[in-house]
Amino acid sequence: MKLLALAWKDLRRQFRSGLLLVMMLGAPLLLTGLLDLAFSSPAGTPEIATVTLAVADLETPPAGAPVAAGRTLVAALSTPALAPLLKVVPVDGADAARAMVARGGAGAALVIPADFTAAMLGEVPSASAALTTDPARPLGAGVAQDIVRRALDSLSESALAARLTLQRVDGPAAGSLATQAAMRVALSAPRGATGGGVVVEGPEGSSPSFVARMAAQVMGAMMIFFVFFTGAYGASSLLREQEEGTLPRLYTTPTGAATVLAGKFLGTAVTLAVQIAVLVSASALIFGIRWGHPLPALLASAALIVAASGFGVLLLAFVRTSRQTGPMFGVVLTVTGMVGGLMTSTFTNLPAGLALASRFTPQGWAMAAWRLCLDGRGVSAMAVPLAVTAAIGVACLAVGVPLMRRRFAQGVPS
Amino acid sequence: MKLLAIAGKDLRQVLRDRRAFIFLLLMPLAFTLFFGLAIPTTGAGSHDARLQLGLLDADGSALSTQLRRALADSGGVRPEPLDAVQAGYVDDLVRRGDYAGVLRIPAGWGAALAGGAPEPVTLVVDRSTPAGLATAQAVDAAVERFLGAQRVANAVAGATSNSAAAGGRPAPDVAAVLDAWRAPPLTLATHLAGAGETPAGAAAEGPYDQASPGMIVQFAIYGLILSAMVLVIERKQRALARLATTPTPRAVILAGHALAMLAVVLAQVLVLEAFGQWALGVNYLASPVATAALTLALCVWASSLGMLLGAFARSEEQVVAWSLVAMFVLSGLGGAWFPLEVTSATFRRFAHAMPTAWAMDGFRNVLLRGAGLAQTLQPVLVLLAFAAAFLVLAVGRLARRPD
Repeated sequence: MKLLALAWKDLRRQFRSGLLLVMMLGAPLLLTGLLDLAFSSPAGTPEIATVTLAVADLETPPAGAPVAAGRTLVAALSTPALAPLLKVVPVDGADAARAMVARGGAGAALVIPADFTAAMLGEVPSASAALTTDPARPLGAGVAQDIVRRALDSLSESALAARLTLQRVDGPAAGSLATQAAMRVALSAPRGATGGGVVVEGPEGSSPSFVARMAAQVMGAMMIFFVFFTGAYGASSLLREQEEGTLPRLYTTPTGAATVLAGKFLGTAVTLAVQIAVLVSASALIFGIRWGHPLPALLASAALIVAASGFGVLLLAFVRTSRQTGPMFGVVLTVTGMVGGLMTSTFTNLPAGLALASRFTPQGWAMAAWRLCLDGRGVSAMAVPLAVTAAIGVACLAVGVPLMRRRFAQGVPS
Repeated sequence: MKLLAIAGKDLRQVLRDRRAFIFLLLMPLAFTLFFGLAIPTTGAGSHDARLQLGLLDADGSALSTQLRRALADSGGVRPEPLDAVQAGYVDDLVRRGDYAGVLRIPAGWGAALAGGAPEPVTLVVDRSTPAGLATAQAVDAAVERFLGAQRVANAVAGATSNSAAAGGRPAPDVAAVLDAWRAPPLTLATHLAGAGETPAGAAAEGPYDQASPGMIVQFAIYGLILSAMVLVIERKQRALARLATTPTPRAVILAGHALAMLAVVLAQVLVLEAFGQWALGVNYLASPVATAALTLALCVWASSLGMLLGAFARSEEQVVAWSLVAMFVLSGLGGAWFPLEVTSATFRRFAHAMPTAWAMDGFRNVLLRGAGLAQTLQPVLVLLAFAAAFLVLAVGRLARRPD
């Protein structure tokens, strides 16, 4: 009963602290909400903003040219199909186009050179259009570059057909045959109609929305990050009681050190369980996160509780006063959380070193277990990360608890 | 003099706290280094940011080998042949994110393409992810080049097949057209706007151009914890009310506290900028005057936020909690964690209600566009307007309720 009374007292104290409630519940939900808001869209995929493309067409087609390549290019870039991605704005002169980008008024500027049509007709070997992009908007720059390059390639195909025809045939008919070949390319069946191309398949078992998956991963990571903080804060309650003088007073009663420590541990474990339960339920309601099957989620929670409380107990061995707990816990838990991949849970293509380093932290293993849980995997698939997470917690407790017993058994600083 | 004495007292109180070093410098440096290392960019000093593309080439023809080379040269993906075991769980590899996509080239693909009846390749990719989209785009562009070559070969053959002028010379095949593509008639030269119109790719956004200013903005807010706490302690201990009974004008007292906050945050930001400039290669000196104006405006705004926190918080615990919430909301919404360009339209509109978004705009103008003072004037003025509003609120509160 004393054990329960001790745990209950700690629980009440923790859930009355505004700061702790912010750290335990407010911060993880707030961070997930912010990222969800940042990337959510009606389609559930990342939105790409329309890029304004300032176009300066400087070409002067040769007299009697059958085509004005610059105008054809501008027309190809201005089709309704591209309108959601690209907004073409004609401007007078290359300087005006580039100045528009420099001012931030356009994401990219395209300058079509004077000899553009001449190059297409083979009168000059080649001509180069210049695309100036805004370095502060690399995504838009990439979109503009891809679209312009494809449109240019289309024109180049016609020109190449004409050139290769001229290499194959001689005589007075050569010119008309070259034009014919170029026209054949220009008028060839639309992409996809002739077969070939790329058939895109989604991987089996993937969730429908990237944003929903991202929110789930961020929520999982933030939950682990702040659960470790709560675990450390719970362990440090012994230190606070010692400094406030309530621990020595407690030892004047017929209560053993083992009961006190067990009560503290139980209080922390229940706090962590409540924190996880609230975060999982709230995020399921607010963000629609599906946390996987109940049993794997339960086991992942249990492993996380053992790891977080064990790590907190171990950290307590390295602080002498409660004033030191803030900086010490803040630095250690932030660094191990970062290395454990909690701040980069949604990043793809991380450097191999960082991915490997996450395996040396309890948070990295806990994240690995929760990731599989979010993927809807069963207990057998999660066995290794679950076991390692719990084992790290047990190892921390095995080292930390004897140190705590020695230090706090008398209730006064030793 | 009294103003300086009050500011000096606050400064000593802040700097005596050993946590100052951790909150003001150690944590922002650690976060900057980490995010600079983790965020994939194409800039100098970053790791190979190309997306991993698994390749299952059942064709093994010269054309499929050429396709693989074209993909590798695209700069967007890094094709890696998969072994027989990996071929058995392609979906898992993509779903887990081990590979951004897996490309299957069927047997006979090269022959079919050369014969004028191209077969499709299959790409397993999650197109709802940015990495998946980019991979699909890179693969599509490369394959399209091959289909284009086939279209050209067909067109040349079609136009000249019945012509005696061909003199029996064979029509170019797909490989010959691809060869001709090495010197295309129309090319695209790309440049980055800004100083010197740098060629694209040579000096694209560096790994720290987002992380360094982002963490400066974030930790300018976080660092306020200690300064605001000094004010709260003075209020709680009624030292502020007692000071108000002396002949020192209330305005001087409050200005002294604000000056101390400004000094702390300015020192912090300058150290972090210097570290960014000389250790991380972030070019804050691209436009020294613009950077100076922006830095000062940011620090004035941050200290006004500190005054606001110090005026309204009732306990040290509240200072910590509110600082954390302010840090998360203002830096998250303001684009300190990721460029606003990658966020949704709604988010972008919302973001510019935050002073931090303007600070980030200003820094990105200087660092990436090489902008001068004229182009950073708007962010500077907006930050100062926010600062004025916050100071009015803080001073109003402290004048009414100093304790």
